[in-house]
Amino acid sequence: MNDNEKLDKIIRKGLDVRPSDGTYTRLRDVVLSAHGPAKTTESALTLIIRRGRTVFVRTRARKVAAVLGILVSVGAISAVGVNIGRYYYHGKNDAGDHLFVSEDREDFVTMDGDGVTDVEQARTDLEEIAGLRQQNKRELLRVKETMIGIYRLKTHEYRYRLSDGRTKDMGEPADEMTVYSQDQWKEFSPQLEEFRRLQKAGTGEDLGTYEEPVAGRVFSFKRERYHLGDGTEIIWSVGTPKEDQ
Amino acid sequence: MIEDEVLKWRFKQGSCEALARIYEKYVNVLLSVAMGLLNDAHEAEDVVQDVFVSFAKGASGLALKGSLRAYLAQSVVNRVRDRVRQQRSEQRRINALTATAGDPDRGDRSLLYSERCQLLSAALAQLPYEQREAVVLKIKQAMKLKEIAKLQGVSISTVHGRYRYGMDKLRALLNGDMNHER
Repeated sequence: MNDNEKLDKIIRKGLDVRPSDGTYTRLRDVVLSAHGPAKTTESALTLIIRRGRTVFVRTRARKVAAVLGILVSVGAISAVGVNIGRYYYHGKNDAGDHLFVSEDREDFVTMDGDGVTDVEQARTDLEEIAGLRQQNKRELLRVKETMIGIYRLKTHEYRYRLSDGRTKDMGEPADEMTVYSQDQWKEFSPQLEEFRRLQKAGTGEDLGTYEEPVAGRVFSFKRERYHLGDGTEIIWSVGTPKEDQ
Repeated sequence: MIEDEVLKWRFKQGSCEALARIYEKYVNVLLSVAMGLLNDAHEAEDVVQDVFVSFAKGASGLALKGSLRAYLAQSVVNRVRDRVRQQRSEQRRINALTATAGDPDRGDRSLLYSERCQLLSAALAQLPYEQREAVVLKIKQAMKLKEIAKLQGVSISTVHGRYRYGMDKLRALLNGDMNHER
């Protein structure tokens, strides 16, 4: 070992500092408190509230639902006996949407204020739906994809059949959807809002149809193109099972 | 490094657990780097705390594409430079340089380090700051000369020179101590 290597080793091994146990804990607490508790929840909620729509957000996958997710029909149901943990009612946001949070704080669901007449019923519905989702007992109704410039949002709309015969449709982010940061969401959310207005006004250019297999079934997609005020091109498509057409 | 990518991603999503793991993983090496640059345990602790607090607060706006380790080390370096420039603790550093080595592991210390660490830190403090930074980052932080050059805003050959001169001077300062190393 030459002198350089020797000195390198001395510095590498010798210059070694660690906090005492007390300091380690104190520093750690300071750092974590600076971060704030449950920031994920707050951030995710902000996005949901801004959209003012009924969406299902699975933060276990750390994906924020892109668009569209509508809970329909309410009524009495009974539990299905699957232990999936509880959901809790979190209250209403400024837009009047109801918010529910899973016990493990991994899932967040908002429901349109108008669509909920009984909060407790809605809450138990969610618990049953979570169980059905876990067992993959659901029907894929349609797939929606929105490409905003470089961003690609993809949602699957599922129908859940509850034990009392009622059905509920939920929009959920597709498993393959790219995870976007909050900054990215902030960047394209205004464009998304403008796109929705254009779509409502029916200004899209028809790009025809195409077929694609999704979850073992062939889906037929209709595609449209929109141009935003800032020149951004949006390609929107919605696909439904071919056998239904 | 894959773990770091996952940690970065989870941290950006707001995960406290990810932040706790990042802290656990890097607090010691960052403290060592800060100590090597400042030769003052209190200052080193302050700097590392500031870096982590700032990091924790900026989760959502964090635009970090490179190495997490390098990012945190650079944050430490930037804060150390600020302190060196401001000379806020000049007197304390002078005191530290002239202080005799005490019991390195006594219970009331917030940071724990050996007598050799104190000796090394004091020797490093005698190098010009740029040389000290080159030596500490290359050896303790395992940064490449190219990365240090980018951080210091100079050419690679300049960094190489700083590193070589720094090592030469350290070798002279630590000659007696090095003879004990096998």
